[in-house]
Amino acid sequence: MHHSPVTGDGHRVVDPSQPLDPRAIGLWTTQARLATAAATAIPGAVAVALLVTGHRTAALVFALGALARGASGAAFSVLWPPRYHARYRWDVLPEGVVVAHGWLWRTVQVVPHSRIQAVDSSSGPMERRAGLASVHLRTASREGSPHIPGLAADVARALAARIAEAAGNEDDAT
Amino acid sequence: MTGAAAEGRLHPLAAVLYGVRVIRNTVPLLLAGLVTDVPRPVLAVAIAAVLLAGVPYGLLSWWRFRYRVEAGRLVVDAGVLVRRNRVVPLERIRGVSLDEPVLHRVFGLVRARVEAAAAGDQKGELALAAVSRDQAERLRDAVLRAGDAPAATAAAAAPPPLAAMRPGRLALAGATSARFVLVPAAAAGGLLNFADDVGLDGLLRDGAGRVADRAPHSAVSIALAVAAAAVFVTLLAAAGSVIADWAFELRAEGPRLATVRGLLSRRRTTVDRRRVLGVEVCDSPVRRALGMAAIVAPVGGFGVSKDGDSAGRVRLLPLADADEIARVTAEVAPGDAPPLLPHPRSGLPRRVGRATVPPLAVAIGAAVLGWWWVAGLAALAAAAMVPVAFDRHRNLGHAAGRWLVLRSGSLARRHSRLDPGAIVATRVRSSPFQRRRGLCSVQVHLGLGAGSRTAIDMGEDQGRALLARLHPWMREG
Repeated sequence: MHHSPVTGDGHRVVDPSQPLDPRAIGLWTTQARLATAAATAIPGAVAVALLVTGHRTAALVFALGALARGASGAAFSVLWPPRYHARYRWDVLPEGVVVAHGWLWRTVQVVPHSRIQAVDSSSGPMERRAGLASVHLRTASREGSPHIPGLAADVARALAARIAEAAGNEDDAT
Repeated sequence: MTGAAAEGRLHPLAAVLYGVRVIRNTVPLLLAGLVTDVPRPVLAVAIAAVLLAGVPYGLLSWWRFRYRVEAGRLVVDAGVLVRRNRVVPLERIRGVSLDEPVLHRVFGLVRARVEAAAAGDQKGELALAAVSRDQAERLRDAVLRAGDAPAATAAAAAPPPLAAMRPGRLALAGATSARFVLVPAAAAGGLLNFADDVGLDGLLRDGAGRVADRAPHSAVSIALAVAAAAVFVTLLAAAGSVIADWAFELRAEGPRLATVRGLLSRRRTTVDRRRVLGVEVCDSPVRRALGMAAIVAPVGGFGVSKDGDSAGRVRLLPLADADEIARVTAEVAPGDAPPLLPHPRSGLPRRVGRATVPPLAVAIGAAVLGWWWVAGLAALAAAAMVPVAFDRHRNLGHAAGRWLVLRSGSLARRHSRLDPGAIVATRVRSSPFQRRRGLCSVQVHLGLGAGSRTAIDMGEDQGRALLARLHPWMREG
């Protein structure tokens, strides 16, 4: 993203600089492909079953549905992961955490350390195989609780520890 | 605090209230039995069993329920079959509501509800079904003394209320609230439900048929009927507001704010000021024309939902004039607020689009189907929304200083003055359509169930400036 960093009152605002691990692209591509395969196979199987039992029009509808879902899913799994990865940036500043993400709909989330109540890091089976993990920052607001996926496992661990330490130096997180 | 600052059990009459509750719960059973053809002896035995179980259950519930405030904690033991023990740290308690439902008032009792912080969890509320007024006030003082403020002096001085509402003003509040739009729908829904439960739907359908036969058919009589219905519903809303909010008072009691209201049931809501995150003035075109608005306080960790107060919002005054708004604001959120910055004009087409595209889509769809009446009405609605969209854009504004001030809306306009220190997280969002026009939306999250507030379609430079104001550590250079 490129924008003029000058604000209305002559100040610049920090843009987060840390990218996610590049392996996240591969992981998301695999996940998107699997989801597409499942979402295509089900109506496809229904179409075959309908064809066998002689319901030709209905079979055609399901076959077209499967085709549309497969094509859009395939396009998504090619286009989305690298772009989403390219836009995802995070940073831990002395007084807070900034996370910027989103390809078309962009979001920048800002949370002061003093407002962080808990830091969770997690990794699912696919993430573990790719050597990745996610960090979830919990605040008193569900919507204001940013999530950083696709980090190298050791980076995630260090990040969680660092944020938890910074948050622990403050008194009241409500 | 050492020892038990307040302790006790419910008033013995609570056992009666528990019993009444059990008996009230058998009424649907009785009705169901009467409508269906359950043999009468079976029904009688069932009801007798409920009563026989209900009375000792009421007594036992009363016996088991004990509460005490000690060592900075509120401890409640309760439960007949399943024993429950709940310990709530006093710092986590956001406020106490004291209600006096009709039956309680007869006996001079109070129902106390303690609001504890449990983000988004209904279990955060703890209710004492019936205690004497004296007990309730002692509990409230003990529980809310967790801070450092002297609670007793505030009660002794009993200052005059910050604001009080007369019946005329309450009637106006009801008549100008948008709430009554929902009254006919709710009444019809309730009636249909009831009829369905009791097996009256056949009767009701016949009745509806008869009404339809007599219903006016000419345009003039339809218009008259609609006008009469509007007047009736407005009167009903005014009467409802007078009854629900009778003698509404807002009181400043040292470290707490309290509202008292109600004709039949007297309701009292007390909030710890440290949990009040600001003040919001809500109005509509009609109320703006009268120079009046409702005043609401966003409150963290407060789950009250009984009539009027929704989660995270406590009504300070249902309808206030300019003087009262200034007085309450000075009390709850004192200090000057910087002037509102308008949002860029490039956001205006977005407001017009948002307001007119849905009715236009309906109009086009109806026209395609040949429903000319519907298409015409939807097109009229779209035209009527154009000035609303302009007004929405004109009303957009924000400013940050001692207070974060946000304003938006037209038909329901909200002018918020929020404590920047209450913000848990901030989110700046932009869609591709916004970026093309150099716009973004800034959302501040208040946490603890107080929700979030959004300043829509501000300039990207304004968004960055606001972010730098709210979180100075985000500044670079």
